Amino acid sequence: MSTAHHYIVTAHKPTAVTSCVTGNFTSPLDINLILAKNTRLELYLVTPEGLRPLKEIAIYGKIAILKLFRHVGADKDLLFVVTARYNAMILECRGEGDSLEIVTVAHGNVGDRIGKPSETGIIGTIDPEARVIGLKLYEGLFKIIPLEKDNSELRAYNIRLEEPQIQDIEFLYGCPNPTIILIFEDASGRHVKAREISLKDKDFVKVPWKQENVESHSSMVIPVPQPLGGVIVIGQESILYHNGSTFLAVAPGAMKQSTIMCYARVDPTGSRYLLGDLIGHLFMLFLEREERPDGITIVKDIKFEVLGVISTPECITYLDNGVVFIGSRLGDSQLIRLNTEANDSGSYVSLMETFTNLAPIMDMVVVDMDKQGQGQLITCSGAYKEGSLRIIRNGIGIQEHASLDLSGIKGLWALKVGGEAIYDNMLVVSGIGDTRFLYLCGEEVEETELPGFIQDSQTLWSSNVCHSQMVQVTVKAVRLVDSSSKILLCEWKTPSGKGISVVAGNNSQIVCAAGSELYYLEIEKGSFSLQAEKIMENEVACLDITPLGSGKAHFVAAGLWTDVSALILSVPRLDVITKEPMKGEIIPRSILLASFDDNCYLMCALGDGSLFYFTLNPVSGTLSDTKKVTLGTQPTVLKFFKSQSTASVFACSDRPTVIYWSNHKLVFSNVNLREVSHMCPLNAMAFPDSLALATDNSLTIGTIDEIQKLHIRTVPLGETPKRISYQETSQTFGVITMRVDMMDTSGLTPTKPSASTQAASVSCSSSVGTLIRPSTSGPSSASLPSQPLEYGQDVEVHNLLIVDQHTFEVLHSHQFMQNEYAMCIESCKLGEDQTPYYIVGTAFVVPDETEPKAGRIVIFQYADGKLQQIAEKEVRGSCYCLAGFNGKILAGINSTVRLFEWTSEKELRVECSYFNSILALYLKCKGDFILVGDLMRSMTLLQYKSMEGTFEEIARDYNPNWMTAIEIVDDDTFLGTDNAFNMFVCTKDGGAATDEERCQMQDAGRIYLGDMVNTIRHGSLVRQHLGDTSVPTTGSILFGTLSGSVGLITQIPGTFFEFLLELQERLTKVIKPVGKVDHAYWRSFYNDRKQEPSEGFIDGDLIESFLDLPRDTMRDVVNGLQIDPQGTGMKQQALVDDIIKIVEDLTRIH
Amino acid sequence: MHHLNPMLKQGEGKVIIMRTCAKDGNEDVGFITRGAISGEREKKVDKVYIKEVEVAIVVNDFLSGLPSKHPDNFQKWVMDGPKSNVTRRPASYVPTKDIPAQQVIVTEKTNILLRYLHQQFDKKSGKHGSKRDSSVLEDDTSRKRSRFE
Repeated sequence: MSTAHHYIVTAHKPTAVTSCVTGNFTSPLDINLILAKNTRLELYLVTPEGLRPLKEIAIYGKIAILKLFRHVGADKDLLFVVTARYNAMILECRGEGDSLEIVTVAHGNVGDRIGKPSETGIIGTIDPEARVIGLKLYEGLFKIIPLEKDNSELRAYNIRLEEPQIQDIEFLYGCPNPTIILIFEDASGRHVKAREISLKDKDFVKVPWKQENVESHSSMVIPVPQPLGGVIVIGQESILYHNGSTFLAVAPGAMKQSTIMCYARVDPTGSRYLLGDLIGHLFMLFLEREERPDGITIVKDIKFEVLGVISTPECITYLDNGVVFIGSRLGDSQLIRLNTEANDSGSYVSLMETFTNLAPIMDMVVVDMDKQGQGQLITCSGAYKEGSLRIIRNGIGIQEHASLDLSGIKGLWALKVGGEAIYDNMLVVSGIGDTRFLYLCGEEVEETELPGFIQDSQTLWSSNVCHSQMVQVTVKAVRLVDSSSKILLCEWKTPSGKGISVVAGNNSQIVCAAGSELYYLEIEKGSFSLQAEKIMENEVACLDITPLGSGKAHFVAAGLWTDVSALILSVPRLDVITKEPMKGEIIPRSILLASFDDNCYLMCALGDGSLFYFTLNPVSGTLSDTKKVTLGTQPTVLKFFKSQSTASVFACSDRPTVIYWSNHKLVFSNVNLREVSHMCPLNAMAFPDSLALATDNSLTIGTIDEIQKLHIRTVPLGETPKRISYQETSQTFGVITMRVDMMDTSGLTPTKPSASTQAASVSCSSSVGTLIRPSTSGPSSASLPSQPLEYGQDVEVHNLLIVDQHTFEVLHSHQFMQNEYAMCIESCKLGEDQTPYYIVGTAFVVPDETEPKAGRIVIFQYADGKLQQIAEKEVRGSCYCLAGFNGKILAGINSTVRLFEWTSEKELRVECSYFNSILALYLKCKGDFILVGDLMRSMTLLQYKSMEGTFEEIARDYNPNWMTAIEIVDDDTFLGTDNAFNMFVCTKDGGAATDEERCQMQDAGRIYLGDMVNTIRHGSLVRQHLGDTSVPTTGSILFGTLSGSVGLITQIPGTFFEFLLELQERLTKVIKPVGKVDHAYWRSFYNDRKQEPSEGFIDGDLIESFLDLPRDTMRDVVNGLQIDPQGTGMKQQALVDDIIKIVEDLTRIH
Repeated sequence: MHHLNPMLKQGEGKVIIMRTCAKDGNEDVGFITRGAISGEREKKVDKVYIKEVEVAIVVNDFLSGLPSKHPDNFQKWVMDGPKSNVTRRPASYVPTKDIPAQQVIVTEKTNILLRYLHQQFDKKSGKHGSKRDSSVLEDDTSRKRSRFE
């Protein structure tokens, strides 16, 4: 049996907030917000400045329950977590600041060996007096965990829940014994019942009260604290308050539009609650009290009002002082403030902060749009009103703050003009034959004159220098100007009269060259003094005199023409200390002395976009460790700058790059700009800590993002994106979206404006033979229904959007017929035809049918701003997936896979079919091979026999896995993910001895992810082969998940796998997971039929956590670990730095 | 469909939110006008049901006096439009200290029915204890221990 070797790592962590709680967790006085993001907890502190992130805690499991509770008499809260695999844990926070520890005070698996998982999901609730925890994990059972403080064992037990179809369970306040309130459903409707638990008898003992036949869609109970007590029952359209003896119900009109999703209690006394519905309304529910003469407080009235619009909420929590956190699974989470006064649009909500969320990623494509050799990921994210496309790329983002149209910029410097200026207030912009001065006044930029400076010549260098002076260097002269009086103090020209060709300077020194003549000047008060001059053997191409420490520079760096070399010269004598030839004939264009935390480098950029860099000894001036990287294809200009006090180098080229020092290493990170020719750091009053950047025809002022991260851009659609495909020829994306229209008096009407209704042009499918009644009406009133729709009924309307790849503008929207669901899209060429087509597969969904009986394959062409339907093919079933296949098109139609060829009449004709599936949901092709992902029968590999025109089943995985995505890794390796959150690899063994073995795929690896993978694509987010790497990875496959994470899988050789496995093994011994769930258990393959140890995968998330360990712990991990650096089989003892380098290189593949 | 109520009287200047309400009950909320309405009433205007509630006053009541544990919290927040937050993720917590858990959660494995029968038996034997030899009973119960994981 062959084992495949893969490395899997999270490139972008999950972003969907599934649960949030607020309490005093880190200390009795701290208010903390704790978020659950699938497999991770995030811990925040509420401060006067806002939310301060404290810790991100990895949980070895998918978090199903997150609750805070407090023991009676305690002054802070404990956190209770249950994972989807039933690992329960009680966590406590101890210590503070950096020494903060999350302590697992109790843990254990609360799963039962037998039991039918709860159909309404895992429900968990904690008694308000913290006597017990109640869990509904399985149908018909209620698990009680008694919270006895003094026992070393918390003995959980099940009690029977006879009520069917339980919707929600909570503990009631103020009961002598723990008492739950539950909503259940039977044949006659939904009912609410309170049940008291006897901890002694381990059973329900009585029913204090019940209310039969509450609203038929009641789904949520909110227990109300004392003195009111009782419970609020939230229905579809009504709210009921019941305290066991009396009740009160209201049916606010505002509730009718949607369904309440979640609530947050505002007051500890329980009079106010925030509620959120599916379409993003935030409501407040207010229990108005009345104190009766007998002293008992009762609820007099229920008030319910809309406060405003928020992201579609999954959970809400009240923080402090009117600030509320909205956790969202379908859109961005938000921090909002509630205001007592409504704003102009009548909303009481103001948005403070949004937290980007990619979830759920339904589909994605990897495209190198800028042709920079680096992929960008475009995801179909969010749903309903939160639907969006997200463009994700690795690298540093520049946030543009201002932009001017200016072309032909040859140089750029910022100055502080005027003696007192603290901020830069002037930009010197040099053109070919002139220089412009841009005065920065607030956010305004105005062109001005600068006395003492000359305008009619190109500026080579300009700067503020010592003694409150400024310098302008032109071809003719070096000019010294007083910075307050702006009077020219001194002018220096080359003794030979030759024009200055290259110059560099700092606060007190200038070095300039005229051809091969080199001069070194020192700046004094009111004058220059020429300290040295020298004739170089070749013309000087570039110069630098940046000081490596504080004070004056001790070295000059120079790059020469002809012999193409980099030199280090001494100051002041200009003696050559080191000469380093750079192989090749490309001239150096820019040279720079840079120091990062006392590590000095000489960098030299050549005319072809490559960069040499050397380690520089700051005392002797000698160079060592020559390295070369390719940054771009054009001449590169290097500039030193500091952003957020981090020393960095900006390489201006056609692929702008920021070079910085991180974790004892130089890191190269690309910038999200197409081309930058020059830059200078700018610290102006209105633009603090900014950069001025010159591109082809504009000057941009912007700030630089935090370094090295994924850069995410959002294109809101306002409707649900389902599938995406890229078409290079038309420079567009084809996006399948779904919006919800509502039937009203004028027919079907979109409920709100969204991408498909606001497109520049619109069309719709109007005729389709016999399958469905033809319709001709426009998109807003939609096609006539094939069966009458009820008034107020929601209808899903599917569209094909054509989206511009640069502007992300929706160029065209095509609406499909009523009841026609677009299922998939593919862009490809067909037959001899050189036109690229968008091909969409659809299904006609009729509510009574168990599965669609009809669908279409529709072929569109987008050209010259028009979308044209070229052909269509009726098919017998839903076309779930499409794949271009050597000029033909493959389609998965219900249980069949069909191959269509494109005839010269531009029609699709079936060539061959494969019938052995339940539902053929996914298709991937490579060469003649086709991988089919089935609804419940895992994966099958087919081969297309072109001679016979038939499919042949080559191999099949016989495990009954319910698939969510598939991909072909290479000719023999196939990747699949299932709906139990596992990923697995199958291999085919063509050389096996028997037919039986050959046609059976081998199980070659598996790992539990704890997340549903919806899409897998080949592609990489980072530029490949940047510098030397120590990690031998092959290929890069990305996957997107339900919780909004992006992961990466790469193949690694067996020896490297063994090495990483050992490192992983050592890390599991050192890292003590929160919740004490064993790493091997966490990653083991798990579904309702079996559990098997993980195999064939390295858990990259664990490997990368090596870098977060303290150095001492790193040493413990590495101690005794052998590496084979040359790959010769000669192993040697690994050093901490060796492992750091390897793990760092692994972090750079994503 | 949005309709303003033309019959609304100008009065004491209370801000109210008026809801327009289509026949089927579909509502739009968000109109603000001025008028003096007290209590709730419904009237029919131009085929549109208009329900007027003293909303804003209620909302003011709702939103005043929101709980405040530390009055300083969020007070230094600079409100210059919503901030987008892509990167601000907390630092990873990598625990390396082995702190033993004080408690282990275990699940009792006794079948619910057996537990019930035992309980019933105990109850009965408690009631009619005099009729049977209690020492035998104790032996019986101590022979088996309840199962825990």
